[in-house]
Amino acid sequence: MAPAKHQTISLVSSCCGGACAHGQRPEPVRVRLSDAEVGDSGVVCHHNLDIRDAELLRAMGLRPRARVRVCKRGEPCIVEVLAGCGHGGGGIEDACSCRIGLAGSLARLVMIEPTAATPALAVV
Amino acid sequence: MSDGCDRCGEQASVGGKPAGTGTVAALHIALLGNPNTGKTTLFNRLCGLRHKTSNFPGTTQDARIGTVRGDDAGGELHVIDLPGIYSLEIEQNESEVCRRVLAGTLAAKGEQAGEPDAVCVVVDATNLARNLLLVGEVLARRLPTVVALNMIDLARRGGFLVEPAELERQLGCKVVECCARSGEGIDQLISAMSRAVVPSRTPPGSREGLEAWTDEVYALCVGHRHPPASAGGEREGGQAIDPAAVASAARARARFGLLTDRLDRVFTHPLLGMVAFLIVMSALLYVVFQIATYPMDWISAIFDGSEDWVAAWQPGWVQELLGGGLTGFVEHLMPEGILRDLLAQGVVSGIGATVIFVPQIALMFFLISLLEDTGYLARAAFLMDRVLGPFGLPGHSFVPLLSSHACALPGIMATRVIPDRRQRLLTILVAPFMTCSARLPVYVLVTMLLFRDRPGLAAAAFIGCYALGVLAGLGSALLLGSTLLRGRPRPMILELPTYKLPSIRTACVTTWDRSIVFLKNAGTNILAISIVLWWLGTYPKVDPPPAATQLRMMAAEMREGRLADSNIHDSARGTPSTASQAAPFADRESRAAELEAKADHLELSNAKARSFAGRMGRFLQPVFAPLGYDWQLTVGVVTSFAAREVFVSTMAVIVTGREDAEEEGILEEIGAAKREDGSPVFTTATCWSLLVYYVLAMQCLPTLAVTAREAGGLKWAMLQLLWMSAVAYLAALLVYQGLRLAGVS
Repeated sequence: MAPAKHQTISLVSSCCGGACAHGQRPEPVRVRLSDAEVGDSGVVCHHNLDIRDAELLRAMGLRPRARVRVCKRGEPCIVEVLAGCGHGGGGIEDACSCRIGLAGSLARLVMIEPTAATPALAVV
Repeated sequence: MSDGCDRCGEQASVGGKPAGTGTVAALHIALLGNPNTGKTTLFNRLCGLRHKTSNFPGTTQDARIGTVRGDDAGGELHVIDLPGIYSLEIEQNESEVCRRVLAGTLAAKGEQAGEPDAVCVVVDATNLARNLLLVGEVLARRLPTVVALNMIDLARRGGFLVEPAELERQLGCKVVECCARSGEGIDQLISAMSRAVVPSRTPPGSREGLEAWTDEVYALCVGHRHPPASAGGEREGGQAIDPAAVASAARARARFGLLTDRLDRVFTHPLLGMVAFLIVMSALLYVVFQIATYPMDWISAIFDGSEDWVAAWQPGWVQELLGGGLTGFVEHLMPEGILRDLLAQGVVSGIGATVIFVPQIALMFFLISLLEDTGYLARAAFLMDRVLGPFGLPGHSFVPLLSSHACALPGIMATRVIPDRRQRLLTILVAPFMTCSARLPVYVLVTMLLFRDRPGLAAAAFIGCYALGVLAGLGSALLLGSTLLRGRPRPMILELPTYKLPSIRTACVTTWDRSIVFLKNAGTNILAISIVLWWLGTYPKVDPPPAATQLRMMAAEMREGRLADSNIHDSARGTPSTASQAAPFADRESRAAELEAKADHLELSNAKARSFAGRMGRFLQPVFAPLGYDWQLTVGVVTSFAAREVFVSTMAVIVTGREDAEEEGILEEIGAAKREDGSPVFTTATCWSLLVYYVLAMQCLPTLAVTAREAGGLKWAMLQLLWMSAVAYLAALLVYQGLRLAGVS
């Protein structure tokens, strides 16, 4: 059995646009998709998925910089992929009807940057 | 983004064929789209039943090719429905098929390969952002293209104000708003397909570039993302946008989203979801098995005749001609001989044996199609992924395994939806463990023998048989998945479509389609096997036994009045009949008929026992002796090797000399069968052993044929046969010997 090929995508970006008081870019808050609370929104920034799963999810709309909303945690993890991703938002956030269910084991490999305050999230 | 070639503007031709010049050449249109965009509904709306189902050579993908009359300017359109895909560029079988069809290197069986004259990309207007990726990939291929903006009614209701004119400008190809469910915009779409042109724009080639392009196009084309086009909120076409309506639609969307969230939580909940699942599946199976009984009875009556029907038919010659069903009709019309036997007992019975399963299969497909359309099945697949996962099977296996409860053939064909080949193979190998309809006659016979006058226990045994089949299937999957088909299970990813009311029209067309595929694929196999079985059970022809000849002579003498009833010796009766011997002779004709019936019984039993199948049964009897089977049961097992439903009718012939297993009292007669030493054939231990054997054994050649085809090799079919036979034999052996040791005989 050949080892599974993994694809790591990192799209870490500044969360405050470099306008930090100390002139340093603070580390962005990133959480696992599986740890996000129901109702939380975020931007997909990084994943460590098998290349086939990554390709499929990407084609389904769950791609880097995609904006997602968590509809259900656990098994399966259900997310809504919000339209207008990749251009910094500013669109109509609820204008979406693409819902993807993915196994919890995959949700653990996808990192998002929350776009709303989510104190309950486990910061990675 | 680059602008396309100017030569490809409005005056361009469709696939090199001049458009709008009265040409009647058929255009080949490839219908492409994401899953859940209503592509199949659109195909059904375009072509209705004017289509055929084929497949792509060397793949397991179905191909549906339909015909639709083009607009006045063009000829017919040949529409090919391609598998639903998210992208042309990913490593999936479906994507590869679509790539090759668009490149002209693959065509459906019987069709000529070549680039399609045009591509119609079906997109979901409520989910435009994601769908644009596939549109971009198609546009990059520079084929005449039309975009069907489907589900426009839902988009309008949901406040997704897509601007088709702007979208058309951005894509550089014709965009048609339509609704496949209601038929809105279909004529315009047909017209657009007839006149499709090569797009005037080409999206970027790189993945990142394409994604950025889709975002840009989306931002420009969805009305509510625009800043108001003018101070008064005017859209380009002059149609005013009512901000209140947009806000109201957004609220409606939010409410619907909330409802969807709640339903999703219930349907995928480990406990609540399972309860809902059990309710839905129980209702489905109840409807399938309850309602299908009626058409199955009608089919049985058509092929084999029905006393109830015949009683009402007048005049008498109609009864005589058609009373025996199609089989009787053929026997009535043709002179006695091999050809008549072949047609009546082989061909007509074989067709009947195939068609009898269609109602259950069709009903199962109809209900599954309805459930799929509601959006529930995707949720159920996740729920089942949790149940099946520990056994190495994915949630996708659930529909194939469910279908296998009607018949394993469509169940195995339904495994095509499983993306991972290893998991697909596993599902194919274990699907025949599910209790199919063909096993039911055996269950009825054996549970009746075991629990006569105790219907509650008989029902429990029935349910136990279903459970044993499922457990054996799951256990086998676990074992095979950790040995021969070892591998890492792929975690499940599935789009969860919007909840909606199902389309009856789509379900009907799908049902029709699948039933035809079943009749074509499985029917051919079943028919061929029925003919072989008939031959094995009928030949070589043997002389009637002396006792039968003597009985016939007596019957003749009885008719002529030369023989009194008291002169009939027991030896000539074939079977003891002390009561009738003592009865006064009242009617010579009826006594003669009784003697002839006994002679028929002796002849048929003798012919079956000395046929090739009977000889094989006797030869193999020592193999089955440890399971408690005598030669009669072994003949039943051997003749039903190719089709398990034959078991009861074979036993009826061997034991009672009558062929109709549904005749009143015949099951009791079978139950009273004796071995050569006078002991009963069906002891409690033998019955349990037989029941377990039939739950687990393969005993279905058409399934093996379909396994070989779908799994991609005879070796898989052989593995399935050997594995199931071994499991069945060992389990039946354990049951029989265990019960004997426990003192149950």
